[in-house]
Amino acid sequence: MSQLIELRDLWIATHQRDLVKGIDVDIFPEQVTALCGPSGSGKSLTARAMMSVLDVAPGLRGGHLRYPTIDSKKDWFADVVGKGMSGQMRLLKQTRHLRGHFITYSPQSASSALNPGRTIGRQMELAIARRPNPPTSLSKEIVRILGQVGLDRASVAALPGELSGGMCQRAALAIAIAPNPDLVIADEPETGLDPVLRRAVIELLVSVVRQNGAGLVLISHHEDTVDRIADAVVRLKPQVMEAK
Amino acid sequence: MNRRHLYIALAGFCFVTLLALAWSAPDLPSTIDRSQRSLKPWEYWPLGTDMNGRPLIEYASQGARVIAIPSFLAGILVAFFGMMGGLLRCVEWPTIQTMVQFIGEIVGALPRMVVILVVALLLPTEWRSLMPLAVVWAILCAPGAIDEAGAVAARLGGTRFVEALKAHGFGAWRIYMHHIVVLNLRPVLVRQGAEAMMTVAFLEVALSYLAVVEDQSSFTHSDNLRSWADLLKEGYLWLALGIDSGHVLFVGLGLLGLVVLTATALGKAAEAR
Repeated sequence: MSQLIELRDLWIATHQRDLVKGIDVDIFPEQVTALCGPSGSGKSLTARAMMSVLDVAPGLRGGHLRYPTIDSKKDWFADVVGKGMSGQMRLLKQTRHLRGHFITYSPQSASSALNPGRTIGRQMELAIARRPNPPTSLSKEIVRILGQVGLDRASVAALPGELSGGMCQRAALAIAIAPNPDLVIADEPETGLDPVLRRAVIELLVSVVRQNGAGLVLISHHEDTVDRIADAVVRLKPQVMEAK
Repeated sequence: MNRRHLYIALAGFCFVTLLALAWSAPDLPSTIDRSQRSLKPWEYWPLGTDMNGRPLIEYASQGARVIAIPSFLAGILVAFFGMMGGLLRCVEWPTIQTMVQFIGEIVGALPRMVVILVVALLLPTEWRSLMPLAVVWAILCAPGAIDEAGAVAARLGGTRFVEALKAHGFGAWRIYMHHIVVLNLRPVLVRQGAEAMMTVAFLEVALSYLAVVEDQSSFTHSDNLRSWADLLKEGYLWLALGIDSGHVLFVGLGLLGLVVLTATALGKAAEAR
């Protein structure tokens, strides 16, 4: 089975310290890979590096990133390492077509994932439009996906502010899976939810992603969640501040 | 047609009326014709005449000409400042953010009306126009607009919201101009701009009224133009003297009402839904 992402020797630093160093990650389809570690260990940063979204100065000091199903040879970091912000901006532009289609992202808080000025239905429409073959009936598809995550038809016309926290998380998840991505990156999707809802949202996420045949990168610092659902675990440790 | 469309139509109608009035304004007032004095609107269409027999429509149109462009520009400037404040909250430029906050605190602490009066008094006679005062007013309003738009952007999630949109594959222009400005900052920017527009119109009327009652040249326009303040002064005077010419005051207040209606309708039309 070909990897979706092959990340080797990732090294990202600020002027003061290393943020992540020596990280290797392989992501496979239909598998749940957990990025696990305490706060500040670079979980979100590693996930962002997988999506080629980096905005740290000087940033990428080393590493190789491949999307083997897109291009088995190409190292996307090759022209970016050591080039600072300009290189990272270039990478952002080069890989824009992959995000929202090949990879989708569900950020830490649903409020950041959802646009408060747009209805859930309209946001779903935009996400579905990223598919190479859009469905014939858009409205039916929106209702189907919302149903998959346990939201009813009424949510289509709702603004994010009109939904509860749990419903927003579900809507964010629906938007993340709507483009039929090969890989979903979920950044601590359980943040801000009570324990019962947390378990329900995670299980929903895993089941929906598996149903769609996609890979899932789950960022979490809940060891019990990771042990329960992950097929592979990447553990990160906080980098220590170097003495000058 | 939903309620939002109704507000858009209303705002558009009021604004076009103001512009049409301004565009149709004569450069000079008509000559005095005492045989036509103090005629009611139904006797002299459309607004009646003053005590010298001049049509009140001239006051309305010349006043609109004085107000229209400067107040619109002030509204645009305030909305622009607000937009920049909102966008600044979504990018990580701490040095610029600190500078903007520092300047904003200084400008925000200035007493607005005093500054306007000082600027009005300091302006050379040949520069006498509402435009510089409108620009100064917009600058004085900028800190409030920046703060409010910044607060809305912060509620969105600031840089985290931008990051999430980048992760969805949107380009910078679409993220900042469409998702942040058009979809989320629009209500606050349009409301701030409309309020500034309305305030500049009131400012002109207030300054002109001050000049009219003191029998001085206006701070905001040349002497060959009439302001809506002339209508208010004349209308109030006639009412106080018991002369049956209430329509003059009514026209003056009606024009101010038109400005308020434009600003309110614009604000309502820009609301999210």
